[in-house]
Amino acid sequence: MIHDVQHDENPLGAGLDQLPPPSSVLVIFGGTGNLSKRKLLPALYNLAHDGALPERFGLVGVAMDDLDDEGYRTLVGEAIQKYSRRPCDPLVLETFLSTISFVSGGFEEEDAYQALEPRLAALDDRAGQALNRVFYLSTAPRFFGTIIEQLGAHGLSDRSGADTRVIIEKPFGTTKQEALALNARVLNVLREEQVYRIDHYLGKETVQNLLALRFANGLFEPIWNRNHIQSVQITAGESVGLEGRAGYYDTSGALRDLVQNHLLQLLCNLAMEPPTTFTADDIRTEKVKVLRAITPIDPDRIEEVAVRGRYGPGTVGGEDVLGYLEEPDVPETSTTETFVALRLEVDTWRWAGVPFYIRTGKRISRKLTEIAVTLRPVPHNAFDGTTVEPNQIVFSIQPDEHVSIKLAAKVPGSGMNLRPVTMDFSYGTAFLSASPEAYERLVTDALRGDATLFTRADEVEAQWAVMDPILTAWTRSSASPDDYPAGTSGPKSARRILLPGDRWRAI
Amino acid sequence: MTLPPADALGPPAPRTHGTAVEHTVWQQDDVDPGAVEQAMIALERERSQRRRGVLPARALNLVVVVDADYTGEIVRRLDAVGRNAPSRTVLVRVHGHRRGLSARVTLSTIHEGTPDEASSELVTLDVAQRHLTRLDSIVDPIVLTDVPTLLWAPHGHVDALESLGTLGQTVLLDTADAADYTAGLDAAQGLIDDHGLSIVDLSWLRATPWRLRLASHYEPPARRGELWSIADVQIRHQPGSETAAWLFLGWLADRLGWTPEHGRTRDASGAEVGLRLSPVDVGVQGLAGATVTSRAGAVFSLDRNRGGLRAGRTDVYAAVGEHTSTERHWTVLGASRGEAGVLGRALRRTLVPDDGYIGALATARRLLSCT
Repeated sequence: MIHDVQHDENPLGAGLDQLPPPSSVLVIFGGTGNLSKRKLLPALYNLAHDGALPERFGLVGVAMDDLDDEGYRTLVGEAIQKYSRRPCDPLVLETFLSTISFVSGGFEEEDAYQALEPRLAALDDRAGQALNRVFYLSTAPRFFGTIIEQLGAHGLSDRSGADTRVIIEKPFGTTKQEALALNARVLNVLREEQVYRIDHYLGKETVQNLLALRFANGLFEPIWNRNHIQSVQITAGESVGLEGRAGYYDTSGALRDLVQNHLLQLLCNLAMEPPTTFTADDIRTEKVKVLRAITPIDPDRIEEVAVRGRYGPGTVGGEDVLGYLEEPDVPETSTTETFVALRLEVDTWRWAGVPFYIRTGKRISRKLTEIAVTLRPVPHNAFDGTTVEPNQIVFSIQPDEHVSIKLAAKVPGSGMNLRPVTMDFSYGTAFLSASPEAYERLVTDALRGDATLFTRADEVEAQWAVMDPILTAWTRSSASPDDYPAGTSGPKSARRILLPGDRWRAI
Repeated sequence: MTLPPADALGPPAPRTHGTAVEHTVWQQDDVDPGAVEQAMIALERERSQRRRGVLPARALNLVVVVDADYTGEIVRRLDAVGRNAPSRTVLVRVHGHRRGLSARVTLSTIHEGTPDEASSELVTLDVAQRHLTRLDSIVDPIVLTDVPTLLWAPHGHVDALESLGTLGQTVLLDTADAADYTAGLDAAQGLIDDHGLSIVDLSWLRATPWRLRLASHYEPPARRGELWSIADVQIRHQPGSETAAWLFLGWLADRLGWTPEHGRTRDASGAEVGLRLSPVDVGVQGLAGATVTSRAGAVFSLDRNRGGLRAGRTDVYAAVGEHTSTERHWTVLGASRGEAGVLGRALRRTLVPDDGYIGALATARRLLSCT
């Protein structure tokens, strides 16, 4: 069969799963850090194992540690053995490690960039082609602007014949003003299409599946509006405490750590209008519209829509744990929140009047991330003497990825008694393969040049615009966050932001 | 509903920490398919009362028809696919002579330390040879409805496949199992043409990483032109894996519009393309290597190697009175999946059909008929 093709096409790709990304070198600034060791390096190994890395691939770590190539390979090998989601194949690991080199130097020092240039040129020479370059900024946020400016100053931010991209870890600023300033610094050196602001929640299958369930099923979209939905609850709970991150967390707090990025992204995916196409810009444009439609919070009425909490001593998993203020390296005078509950409104034709409750906390009773959509109750209860609970659609993102629909059903027997039952769809059982780790998906997308699951400049600014009034109010206030015992579902005061008839889901 | 005999419900194995599998078993002789279906419902209810977090897997049925004496080898292969296991496997063991049906149902619950636990089901049916022509009436009540059904007869029970044809949409086979490679490819074509079935061919899937890497190599716009000036293709294969090699060539020829005629193969411009196959023992079924040479002399090769595929690239630069070339070698990372991985990939392929196979098979047969 002769296919009708142009000679500048590649007909071999047709019918195959997605081709591996183009030949590239990945440079990780902060290549010895915690995120690199726990997530990035294992993700890269697993991509190597699956044959999903580019044909020609090089990895360069940059960090202040006094290591040579061999020392860095040892560090990487140990991290992969410890944190990989699958047992290592020694042959693949050995070959993967052989692609790795290391540049030692401070992120603000010229030397590091001067040493990096010849490394990258040597990789191009060895490959016989100009490799795409992807710089991954897995460093403290204060270095983001500096690194990008240094890349620009050393001619590493762009070149002809190959693509240059920069992945920026979170947090992208700590206020709208900072985000604007950082965007200005970044976009002074790079074009927006070169910038990949990461939010690893977007790499999770269930988050992506939200769009599939909404826009590929006639069942949901007709009811996805204020006429049928009573409320939306987005919950992200962690049973762990600071895990040695007091320095970062005490300057961040739950609002900046989780709400500004991950939870607002979940809200956007749930509330956005169908994009014209599933391209990066169309999807992100629709998300920005949602963020801009969120009713600005009046700092003077913050008590009505926001609650902040802080865990005290308690019991988690049968063990006594310290309260936040007793944790090592937390200042006695800290007013940082470890729990946030918000009530937001998306002021659009579709969502006007529907409360979007957001709740996140550390040291609560269990690890859990979910979105619960509660439908309006039936208009008339024909079943005397029995309560009919409203239907709920629950998208569970952690610890297991599944979707369940809560329905009312008759209890077997002679009477007409009703009880809620659930219909479940689980990623673990409905498909024959496990979901890849979010970082595997996101790194591959960045290598491929697909920005759909990354945050655009105006998107991150719009996120901060939602958060800023809350931060302003809390900064102004002299009150401490409301205490809650570790191992519970948060402070009791969280109930005060609920509208009549609504209640928090059990965690 | 009729519950299975109480003594047929085996006690569940104790739970252990980490990944563990719990089996619940029911079995009965002289049974009819309706009783098997009822027993499975009862087992499922019994389990859901004990373990509310278990979600029965509902992705794929696999019906395997095997000679009873050679069941063990197939069961071992299926065990090795791990979490790619079908949701429900119906293992039909064929005996020469047997009066009635016997059935054994095993519900397996996989604990991986998460709140939701997956499950899969194995139904083993012992049938007589005479049952094969009406196997559909036995298997139909037992498979999950509304999910794809994959049929596999590794010991050649074509009559069983014909009977089950309306039940299953896809047949798993290995064209390398046939007595000779021409017969293997012809049999696959027969199942498509005569029975309207889709095919998942293990010989085709063994070459998937090779197809991906070859396609990827020619993806950069600067290299795409080479695809239209290929002068020669050499395929190295494990002895006995000729069908994998022919299917690979069939795929290339199909995608690039090559036509076999009078013992030669010509590309879309009419230029001849040399095709060569050679056996190389690398101890692993499937391809051992591939070399593609362009008319300008550029060469790209892939060979099986430790930790991935060993790639080689030769570029030729010609100037007036001068002819130079550069040669580079490197490893394309990727773990060997082994036969269990190939079978797992085959099971997943049932959910995501591969439209490249039909063209590759037809073109491979045309190439073969011209040699």
